[in-house]
Order: sequence, then structure tokens, then C-alpha cells
Amino acid sequence: VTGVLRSELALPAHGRVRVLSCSKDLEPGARAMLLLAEGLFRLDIMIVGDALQTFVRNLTSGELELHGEVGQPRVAITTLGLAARYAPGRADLRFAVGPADARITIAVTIATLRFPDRGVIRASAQAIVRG
Amino acid sequence: MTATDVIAGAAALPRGAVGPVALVEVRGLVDLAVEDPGQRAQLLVHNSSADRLTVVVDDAGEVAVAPGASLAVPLHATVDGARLHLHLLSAAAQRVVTAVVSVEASSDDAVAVAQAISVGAL
Repeated sequence: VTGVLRSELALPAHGRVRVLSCSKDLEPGARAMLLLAEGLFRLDIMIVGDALQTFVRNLTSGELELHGEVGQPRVAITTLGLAARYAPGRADLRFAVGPADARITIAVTIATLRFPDRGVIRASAQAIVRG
Repeated sequence: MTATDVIAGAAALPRGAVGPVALVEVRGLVDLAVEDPGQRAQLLVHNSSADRLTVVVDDAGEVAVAPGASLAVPLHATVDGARLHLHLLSAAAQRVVTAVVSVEASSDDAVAVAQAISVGAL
């Protein structure tokens, strides 16, 4: 299990974006926290069979607005070498939180790999936070 | 419009093998390879872009890699093998990559496995 990795990128025309990511090896059916942005949101996931379920907790005083959907993991766009044996997948989620005059938008991509020998699924999530 | 790609790569990693094993290519930005010279597996990060690349490693801080240059980062040992979690940032290209790399122990050759989430046009 690795912790949440945080960094920032300064963009010439768009200010700064924050990047959060985390990767955990999960047993099927177990719910786990993948991302935590203090004061903004918490993202949990649970994988059962081919289905990936997400749980977003809004930690702000404003409303949570979901813009995307997460369904069954899709086959990743690019698979190299022996990677197909780990059944790579992905899911995407977009949402916004925060007060009306200072909305924060978050784009999350969740990537999965299955390790049948160990009976676990590796779930890695990246969030791009703007605002 | 932001484009996001998920790239997975895996390859057998013979212990003490000569030379790195390619894992993931994020076209125009970075190539990831791994090698195990015999004591500890390490990730090789090659900046294939024309701009400076910032590498942020879990528990190890931040390093800038010049265009065309490479950086070797040792993987962290785990009970199952070894692992590394990092960000690759290019302000000039407005691109972000999160990569998770592991070496899975095996009775035969170990297997190096990587998955990268690449976001461009930020």
C-alpha cells in the first residue's frame, strides 16, 4: 500500500492544478479509501466482480455535483508486453464541490490491474483538482 | 478538452539481466523501464520530451530531469517484491502522468508491472 502522493503544476495560462494520486491492492468486495483532499472530498471504491463502485464524500459546505459516471472498468487504451495477463481496466469520474462562488472541479481516473496469484486488485487513482 | 490515457506494461525481469526492460512509453513525454542489476530493482525514467520533466517520488521528494536525460529511482521493497509510486510533470507540455510500478516476486523470473495514467492538454 502506498500513501497519497501530492504535487502541483503551474500552467502558464491556467494557474496551478493540484495532482493527487494513490494506489492500493484490494481484496474483491473490500471497500477502501483511495483519495483524500482535506476540506474538499474523500473518494472510496469497492470492486465486486467486474463492477467498480465509487463513493464520493463532500467535505465542503457547497453541493456535490457529479458530471461523469463510473461503470464497469473498460479495457485500457494501451497494453504492452505481458500486461494483458493482469486484465488492465479504467474508469473516469468528474465532479465539483465547494461554494457557488468558488467551485472546485475534480477529474478522477481510476486504473485497475488484477493479480490472481495474490487474489488482489490494484486500484490506482489520479485526481486533477482545479480551482 | 483534456485527454486521458491509461497505459499498462509488463515484462519478465531476470535477476542480474544486462540492460533495462522497457515497460511503458508515454509518447512524446517519458519512457519507463526497469532493471535489476542483482541487489535492488530500479526504475529508469527517460525524458523523451523537449522540455524539463519533474519527477515526484513517493517518500523521496522531487527531481528535475533535463530533455533527453534519464533518472534511476530504486523501488521500495515490499513483502511481495518491490514497488514505486510517482508523478511525472511537464509544465511546458501541460501534461501529468501518475505511474505505479512493481516487481512481482515469482518462483521463476520476477515480473515487472507498470500502469500509467497520462493526462494531457491541461
